[in-house]
Amino acid sequence: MSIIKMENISYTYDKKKNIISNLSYEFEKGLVYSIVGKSSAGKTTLLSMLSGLAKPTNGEIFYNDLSLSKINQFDYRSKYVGVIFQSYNLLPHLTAEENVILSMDISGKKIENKKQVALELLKSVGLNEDIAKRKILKLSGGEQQRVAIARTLSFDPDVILADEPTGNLDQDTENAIMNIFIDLAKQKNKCVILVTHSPKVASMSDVKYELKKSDIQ
Amino acid sequence: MYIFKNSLKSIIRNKTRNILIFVLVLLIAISACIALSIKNSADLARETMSNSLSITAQINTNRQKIMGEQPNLEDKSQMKDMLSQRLSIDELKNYATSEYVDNFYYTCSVSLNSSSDMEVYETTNSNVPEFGGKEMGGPRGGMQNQGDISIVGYNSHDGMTTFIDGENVISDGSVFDEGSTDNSCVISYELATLNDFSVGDTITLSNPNKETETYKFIISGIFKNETSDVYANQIYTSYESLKNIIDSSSENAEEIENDMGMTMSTALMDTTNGFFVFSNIDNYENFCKDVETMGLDTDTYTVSSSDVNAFEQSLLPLNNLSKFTMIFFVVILIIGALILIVFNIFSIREKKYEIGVLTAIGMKKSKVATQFLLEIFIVTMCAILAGTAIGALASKPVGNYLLDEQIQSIQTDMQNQNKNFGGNFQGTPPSMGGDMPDDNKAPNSENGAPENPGVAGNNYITDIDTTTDISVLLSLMGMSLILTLLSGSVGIISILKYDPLKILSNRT
Repeated sequence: MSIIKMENISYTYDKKKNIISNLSYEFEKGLVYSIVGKSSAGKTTLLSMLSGLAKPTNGEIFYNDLSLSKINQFDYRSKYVGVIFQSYNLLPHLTAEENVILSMDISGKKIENKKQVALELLKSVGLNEDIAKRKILKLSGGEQQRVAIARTLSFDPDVILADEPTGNLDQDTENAIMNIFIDLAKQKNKCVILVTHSPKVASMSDVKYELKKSDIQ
Repeated sequence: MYIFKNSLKSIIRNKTRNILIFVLVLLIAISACIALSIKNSADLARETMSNSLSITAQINTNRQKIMGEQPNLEDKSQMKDMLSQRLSIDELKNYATSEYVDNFYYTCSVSLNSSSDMEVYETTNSNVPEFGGKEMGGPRGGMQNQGDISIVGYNSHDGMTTFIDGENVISDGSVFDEGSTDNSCVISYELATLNDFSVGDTITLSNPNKETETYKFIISGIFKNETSDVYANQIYTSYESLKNIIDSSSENAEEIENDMGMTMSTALMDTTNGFFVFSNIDNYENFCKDVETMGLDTDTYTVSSSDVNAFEQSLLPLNNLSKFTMIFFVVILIIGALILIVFNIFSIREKKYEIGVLTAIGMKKSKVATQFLLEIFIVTMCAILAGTAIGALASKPVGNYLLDEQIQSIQTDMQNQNKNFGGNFQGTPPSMGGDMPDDNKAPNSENGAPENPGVAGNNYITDIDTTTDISVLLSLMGMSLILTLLSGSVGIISILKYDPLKILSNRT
């Protein structure tokens, strides 16, 4: 059964340029999806629509058969869908640990010992306690990417949307992160949707979806 | 709870901006605290004084209205007649039945001539109480001869305010009995010494219009005034004794020609006055309304009290100060709010990215706005509390300094005005506006009014015990809330309008 379904969605930019046209697709739990395509193919736009940050010009997106237009977009992003942004979008005045805890707070989910959970999540993406206590600006790009992943995992969403999640990571860490996503899909029955340029990431995914010319007007 | 924690973190991590806001609000709070404390003190002083003040009032002709409505010269005689109208004792007694009146007494006064074997004291003070002057009614007609001795008859000892106040003190004998008709009287120590009078002696006085019409008074007491000789040529007796004399004079009156060739009666012309006593200002003010419902013709008569004028005048510098500080407070508040709004516009621009991230990860805009407001509120509240503490300590010395400046300014104006009038200015003091009742311009010490309210200024409240109490604190808290909402409103509008995707895309 699909957890996210797109029905004939289109996205027009500035009322003139069609980014995506009449796209339909269904995403299921327990699978890792890779959305690939050329630059400006609309991959990030598609991810924004799936996360509720952008609304399709036409068509509808459903989450558990419920139209996104009928779900509070803030609740949707804080409880059901975790987004890993390409530019991380972390709060610079907070530490890595505090960024993760803040996400748990915003979700409103009851999580015991949030500090410990945050440290464990950071550790799972390869960040030790010393790095966890540092402010974001004192972390490298790769470390910030991992904090962003840990933040998304913090409130245990059903769907994980990631825009180039391994873009700034070395080969080993890329493997490690991909393993985390695969584990989440297989063991925790999550739906993981990745936008990537990396053939390696695409090959490790269960489903590879390429945004083709036919999708773009 | 996490919103509060986030606000605290944000405050601590944006020190420079928040210190600037803190200092600005601190200055506003100090000014506001001082202004509110001074206003509080003025209100408290007014309340305390009005509760403890005993007020004496009279019903006199409404000179202002009569003169204002009769500006033509042809109406001069009519105006004179209107001005000389008096309510009878019975009418005054009727108004005294008002529930607001605490006590009522009345006097009558006439002027008589001393006999040939009696000397009159030459007073050194030019400001002799004139029982025939404006305050006490004035001689009707103005054609009669004036005597050199004033006789005042009291129906009650309550009316003898100079004795009650201790200005005049019986040094020998005792005061006449209330309601007595035996012509017993009290005379001044000066008159007694000059004429070698003592208690039990009889003095003879005559009608200044008819020298053969004489009246005898028995001295029951001699009074002394340690500070002034203005009462030296005054004799006090009971109302009833004096009334008998006036009635007798009226019965035996003749028609004579005066120096100007005009016909006049030899009957003694008396001036009768009723005095209403109130326990506080509220009762006085209620009485002013009550007499209208009781039928007083307010076109002709008005209720006035020199005590109320003196009371208002004593609070004048404090009220002025309170008014000025409140204006200052409002100006500071407006300027402060504007500066804070500008600060917050810049602040929200700085926070645009943070707002974008928070909303992108699912934080509701209302919660983001709450966090933003909370940040301003915490900084503002801390500054208000610190400002209140400093303001509370500073309000007394600053308040007293400003009050002193205010008094000096008023006194300088008065002195200059007085100097312009050759040292005898009796008009409206500066800053009192033009609404002072006419009777305050001719004060009469017998009525308990200040000796010279236009000049002295000695009755002012010169020291204030400024109180920064819970009401001031609550007002400042309210101010803090208003400042927060005002200055934060721009930020909230921005937050509600922001689109997280746009913010984050622009940054990328």
